[in-house]
Amino acid sequence: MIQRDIGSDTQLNVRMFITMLLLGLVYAGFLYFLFSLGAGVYLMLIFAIVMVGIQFYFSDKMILASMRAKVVSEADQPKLHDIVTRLSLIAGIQKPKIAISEMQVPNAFAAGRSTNKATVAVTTGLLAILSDRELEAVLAHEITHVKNRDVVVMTIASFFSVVASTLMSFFFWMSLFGGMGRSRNSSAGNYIMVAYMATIVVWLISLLLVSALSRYREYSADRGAAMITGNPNDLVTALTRISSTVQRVPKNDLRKAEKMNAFFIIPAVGDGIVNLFASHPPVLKRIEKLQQIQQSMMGEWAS
Amino acid sequence: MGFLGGLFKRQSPEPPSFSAAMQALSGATPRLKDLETLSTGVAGVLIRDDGWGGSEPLVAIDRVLRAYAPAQEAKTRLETDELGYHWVTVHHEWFDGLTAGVRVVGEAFLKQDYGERIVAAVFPFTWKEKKVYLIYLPGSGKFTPFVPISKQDDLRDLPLEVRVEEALRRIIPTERDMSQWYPMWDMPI
Repeated sequence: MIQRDIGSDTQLNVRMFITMLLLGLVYAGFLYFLFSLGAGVYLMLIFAIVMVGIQFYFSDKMILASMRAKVVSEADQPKLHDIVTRLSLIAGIQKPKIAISEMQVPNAFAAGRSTNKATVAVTTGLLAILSDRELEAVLAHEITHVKNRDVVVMTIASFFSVVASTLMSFFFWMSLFGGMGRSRNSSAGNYIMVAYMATIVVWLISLLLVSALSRYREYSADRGAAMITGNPNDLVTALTRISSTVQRVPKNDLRKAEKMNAFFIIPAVGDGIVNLFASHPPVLKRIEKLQQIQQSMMGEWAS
Repeated sequence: MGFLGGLFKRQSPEPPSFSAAMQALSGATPRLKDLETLSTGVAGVLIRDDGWGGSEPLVAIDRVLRAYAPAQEAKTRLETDELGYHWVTVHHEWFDGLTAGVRVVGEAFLKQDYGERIVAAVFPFTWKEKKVYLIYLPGSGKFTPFVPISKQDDLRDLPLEVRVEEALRRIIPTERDMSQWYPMWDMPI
């Protein structure tokens, strides 16, 4: 079997780099701010580090448990094992463990802090609706997440977001109960209020950047899946099938919906704000990019 | 839209008028031909039953058509579907004639302040033995695709719908939000 170079998307890499850079700047500024605050904060930092550490070391077990996913053997699921073995060989990674979650919602995910300790999981709902080729495309997407060490990247990237949210609740209670001695005078109270506001801003910005980074990683995993399977269209059909099954596409007849005035309610805010905090890009955007990859592949193969 | 584009997203412009949308669709004829998507020679304007102020809806609709859409090249017929909605079906062998016919029907309703009675304008096509519908929604001013497979199983060809939207989005105003892609089963066209 030939190991395939899943290549890279320069534009995507530049975007990821800029996002990481911006995240770095936000965090550096935040750190400076924390140091200027002095005692008490260190304790919160240690607390946040412990939290992130737990997330880092136990995230796979936590995710698998929350999704009620159980690791399956080759004897139980020979077809799944066959597909994952083949895809792992092409991607050049150690074969991850395979788990199945007894859930009707079609979904798949990768867990684990390293390529050697990874697990890819699928729900029974996903197995029920996808063809073998579509399933292969979705598993290739998850295997690319493993290969790209996305769990580690996202854990590191979201570190300060966790720190900020921890501090946010800390300052909230401090401002509510008068700041445990220090803030009994009004200037200290103001000081805490400013710190509280700053923490909220940092939390929002980091969440925004982490979400953007997560979306870029998704595009990257889509690209990887296209390269591993050699057929981006399989992921396109899988994505459309999944998105329609999770009822993004309405089931109600237009005339019945019109009676309830539902379809006149065009979101006033638009998708812009929602998209900014979404961890996954919109399905249509992903399909668009996959179709571009398909076209470029056809060009390569035609020449 | 890029990252900064998302941050500074502009307010959506006013949706194009009914007539402008029909003209845009007429301009899509070469693209549809390239895609081997053929007009069935019929289109339908979907009209709601209520809001006719006590008049018999079919009589009122007929009156609107007679007064404001007089003898035009395309032939029109009135039908009522199982859900009680009325359809002005427009027939013309050429796609240009069909879009012009639907435009005249739409304008007839708009001129008599009955524009809000129009729910949709529907254009069926055939592509490789499949029926592909383009549904124009005056509320949003956009077209949505619909490719039915089986009403019983609630099945539609979503991958094909995505390709249709993608192929036409630069020519006609298409709805990119899939949550607005409503199906319509058992249409009389």
